[in-house]
Amino acid sequence: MADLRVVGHSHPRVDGLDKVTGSARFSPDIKLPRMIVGKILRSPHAHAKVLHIDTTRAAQLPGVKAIVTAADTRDVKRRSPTYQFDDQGERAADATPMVMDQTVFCEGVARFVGDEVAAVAAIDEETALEALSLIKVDYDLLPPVFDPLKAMEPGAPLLHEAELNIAYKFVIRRGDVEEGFAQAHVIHEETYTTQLQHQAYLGPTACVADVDGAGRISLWTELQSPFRARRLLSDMLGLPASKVRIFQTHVGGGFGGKHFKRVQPICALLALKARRPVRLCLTREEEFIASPPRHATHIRLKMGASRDGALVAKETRIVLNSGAYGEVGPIILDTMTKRVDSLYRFTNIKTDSFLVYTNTVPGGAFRGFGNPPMDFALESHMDTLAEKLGMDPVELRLKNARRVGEVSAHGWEVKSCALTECIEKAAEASGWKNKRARPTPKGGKPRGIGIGCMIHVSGCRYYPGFYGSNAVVTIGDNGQVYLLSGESELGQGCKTVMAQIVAEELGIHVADIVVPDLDTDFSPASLGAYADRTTHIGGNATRLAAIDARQQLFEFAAEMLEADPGDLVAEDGRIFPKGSPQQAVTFLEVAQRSWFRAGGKEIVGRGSWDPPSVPPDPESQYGNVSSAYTFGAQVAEVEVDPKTGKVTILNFTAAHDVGKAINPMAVEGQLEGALVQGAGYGLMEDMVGVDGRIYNPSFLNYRLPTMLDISPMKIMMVESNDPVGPYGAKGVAEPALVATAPALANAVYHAIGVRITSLPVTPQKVLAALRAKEAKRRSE
Amino acid sequence: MPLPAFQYFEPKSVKEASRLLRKTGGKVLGGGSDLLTLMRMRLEKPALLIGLGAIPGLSFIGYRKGRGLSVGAFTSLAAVGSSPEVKRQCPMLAQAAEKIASPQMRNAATLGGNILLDTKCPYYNQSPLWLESGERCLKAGGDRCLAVKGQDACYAVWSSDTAPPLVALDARVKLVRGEKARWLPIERLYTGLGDKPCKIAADEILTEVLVPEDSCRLRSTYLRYSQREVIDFPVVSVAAARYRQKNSTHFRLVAGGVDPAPKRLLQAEALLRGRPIDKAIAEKAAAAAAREVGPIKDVFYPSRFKRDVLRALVEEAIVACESGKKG
Repeated sequence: MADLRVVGHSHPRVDGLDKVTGSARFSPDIKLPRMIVGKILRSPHAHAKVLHIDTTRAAQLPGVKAIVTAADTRDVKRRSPTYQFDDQGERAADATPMVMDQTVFCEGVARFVGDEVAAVAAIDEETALEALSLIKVDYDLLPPVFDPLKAMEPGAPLLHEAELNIAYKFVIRRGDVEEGFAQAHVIHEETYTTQLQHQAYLGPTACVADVDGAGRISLWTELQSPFRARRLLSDMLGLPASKVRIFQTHVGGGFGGKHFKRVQPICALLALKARRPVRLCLTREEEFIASPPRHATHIRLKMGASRDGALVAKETRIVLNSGAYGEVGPIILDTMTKRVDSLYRFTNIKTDSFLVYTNTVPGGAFRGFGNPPMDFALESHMDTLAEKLGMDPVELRLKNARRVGEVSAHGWEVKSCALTECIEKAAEASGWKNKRARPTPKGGKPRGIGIGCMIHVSGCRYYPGFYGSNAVVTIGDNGQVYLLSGESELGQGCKTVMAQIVAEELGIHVADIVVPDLDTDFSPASLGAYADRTTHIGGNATRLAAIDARQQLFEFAAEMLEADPGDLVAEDGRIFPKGSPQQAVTFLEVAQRSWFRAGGKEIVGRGSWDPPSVPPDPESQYGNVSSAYTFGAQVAEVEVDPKTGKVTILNFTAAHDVGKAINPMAVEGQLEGALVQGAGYGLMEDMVGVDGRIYNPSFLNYRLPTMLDISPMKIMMVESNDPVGPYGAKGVAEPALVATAPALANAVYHAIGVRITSLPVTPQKVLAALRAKEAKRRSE
Repeated sequence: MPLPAFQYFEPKSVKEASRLLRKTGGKVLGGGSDLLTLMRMRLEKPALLIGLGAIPGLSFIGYRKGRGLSVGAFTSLAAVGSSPEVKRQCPMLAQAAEKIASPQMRNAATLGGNILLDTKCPYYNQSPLWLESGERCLKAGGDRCLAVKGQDACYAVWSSDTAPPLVALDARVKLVRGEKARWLPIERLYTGLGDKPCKIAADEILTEVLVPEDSCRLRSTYLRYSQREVIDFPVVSVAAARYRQKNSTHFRLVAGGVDPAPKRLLQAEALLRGRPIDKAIAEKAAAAAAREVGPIKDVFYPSRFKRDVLRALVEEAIVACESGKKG
């Protein structure tokens, strides 16, 4: 594909001007005539029976237009994104292993501080807040449980109707772990813990809902998966799906946190009851205490390596703190349980993993999806093993790195892989050899350099049904081209990438293409922005739609040129027989002819693409879950102040196997953003919770790195040209933060010789570890 | 959360402002960066706010030889931080001001407001829902301090950046009540009580800060530790000023973030008094400083950590002061 003209070239975002001029409308900006304001009443108790809700006084407050509680909802739980059909074609249980245990409001029992109890819509925010204070809820306190290790034991207070608080569990056995450990030259065992990290999107979660005279409800909101939301809303509201319409506004950041939440059905219920447009927008505190963050985890990891560094056994026990509800927890646990096993050439694997309820904020999807905590454990472990073996950490990784053409222990077929090249490039560009040997300049504070590697998916199939994407490309009467894609633009740049693909295939310019905002009435459906699938899967669907449109266009062009449609090429706004550009007709002429000729038509190109992946077998968990796997290596260089424990990042070097960069500038932006978010996870971001209370539910004390906390970054894209992806592209944006935290932790260890096994690596922990090391040295 | 409803006045004189405060029980609104945040959280619910913006003569920076550097209380932190006069006379004050929060906040926030900043604590500076969701601390109407458990006093910490330098420089503040004005050493403005940190009457208005001539153009250093370079309040901060009389030197050392008030480190100061300063004595003084502060911890920072950081900062500040290098 040497002659690509648009794909593979940096292009500014198609929504860039709208955003940088401040005119872009996000969901909180939407204003409708007669719109009123919704507010949510939340449980102040971590665990309590809700005995009675008295809304009498609130209802009497002038200005209150609607109050909704569990009594106004149907007894319908949220559903997983799919239905399963058995061999006879009957609809069976949900196909994806999710624990969909959230109703619109908590019913009967409040399970965490912030659990939604009731909601009010009133003429303004002040009145709505006053109304909330007038709702009287009788609670009967129940004993809470916060520690997942205690919660999973028999006899712990139960959150749901079950014998144990274990919401889901995996038992994975591959090869023979005992035999592997018996062969090992070195064995290392360690416990790692990771914290709650919030997506911290700057644009808050908001929804505006409006009901028309026929009872049809429209929602303006920000969603990563609007078609799934339409299905869920239809279920939860008891309306046919045809009565639910979702307009996607600009998304003020998603990172996994802008999937369907309780906000959308609550807002819809308020609008249905008030018969007025209702706006519901979460406060930043509500985002922190009740919008699903990245789960906290507890990982026990034991690994063995042979004398030459081959990884011969891996034994893992994972406890994922689900919080009060299960939700997507099982598939995040699935990711933690299996993903890193395909990064290196593991064969002997034993993993037990548990999703455990506690009376804390329920966790959810967040960029990396279970991969970051497990990769932190694995990659920290790799460095310790390397040290025990007397090997360089880079060398140990190269020794075990996944290679193209292999099938992993879980059945993952690796059709493209540049992991080795990524490791080598990152090491080379970061000055690994020299800095590893002499990290600290004379008289300076201790410095260190560390590496982390990662693997991820480009879409991850959990069920056999349609897991793909749809797109429509239409060519208008004046040559204008519209691209309707079911994929969600959440700031990752997919509108631009899709427009580039259409421009490439139609031989026109990105500027000639309109990419309207997603509207579930008009846009063809797609699964949504999960598992880094948008470019890889949505890109393929868009490419097919563009090719379909081009073929139709060529039919008309062929008539004009008296040529065979199969011989035509489209380039730079012109269509001509291959090798005869002087005979060209313009794109505009052909488009107009298609429209205005007798028997003409509007050209509508359709594309539908379902990836050739295989869901994991429910028993063996074996299956090629993604059509492309993505890899990367990151190197961090840090300086540590031994007096305060403060870690300063000096340099980042990131080399990622992107398959093919369709928009290199966008890839670069995604990698830079991921390094910042990964640095936050590694060094400072932490929702500090004690006894069910989050102590820092604000951007003041929940510390996101700022530009001053970040170092220069060297970004390298390695193009492995995936055979399945559009133009060879794989997912890159989501997992680009996976390797950052372990690279930082490994660099800290290299600098000062203390290994921090719990994220984030805060100055408090570094200093305490240095003191402990000093005390140990003195006692010896 | 939105601000609660309140009335707002902009009197034209300090006298009028003081009269309004006395009559109505309102509160002074400086830049609003502290008070409005507290109001949004419903931790402050004044029925009336008195804005100082319409009163002439409260925003200025001036130096007069023999008297010292005076700064109007309504002067923005941005102006204090960037003023050549402040940098010349009291560089440490400029250093402190320009470290606060972010440029936007420094444009709004005033020196007076920063001097009278309320103490901060993760057990107190929270929303009504948060406070309802468990035990209330002393400052929030409960029975005991939750930061330092077992204490019957409030240990919310002092987090203003400008106060430690001003205490170290022995600054005076002018407090006006009606027609009467009084000058007070800034050190005496602070009570040391976390739940009522400033000793200022409800109808008194802080109008001016004076750094006396003896404290101008000293070798001084302000150091602060926070996890991020911007936005954060200091976890621990240290202001050090080196005074020289004839052949003898002494230091004034003041810490922030380790006590409900800017904390004079008197034992550390005593160790340095009249002694030649080298690394060894700086280390000794720093160790003393770490010992002499009271119980300091909260859910984010254990006491040991804060003491260690204080020790590192005190040592560095003394050495920097002595060498004359800027901190």
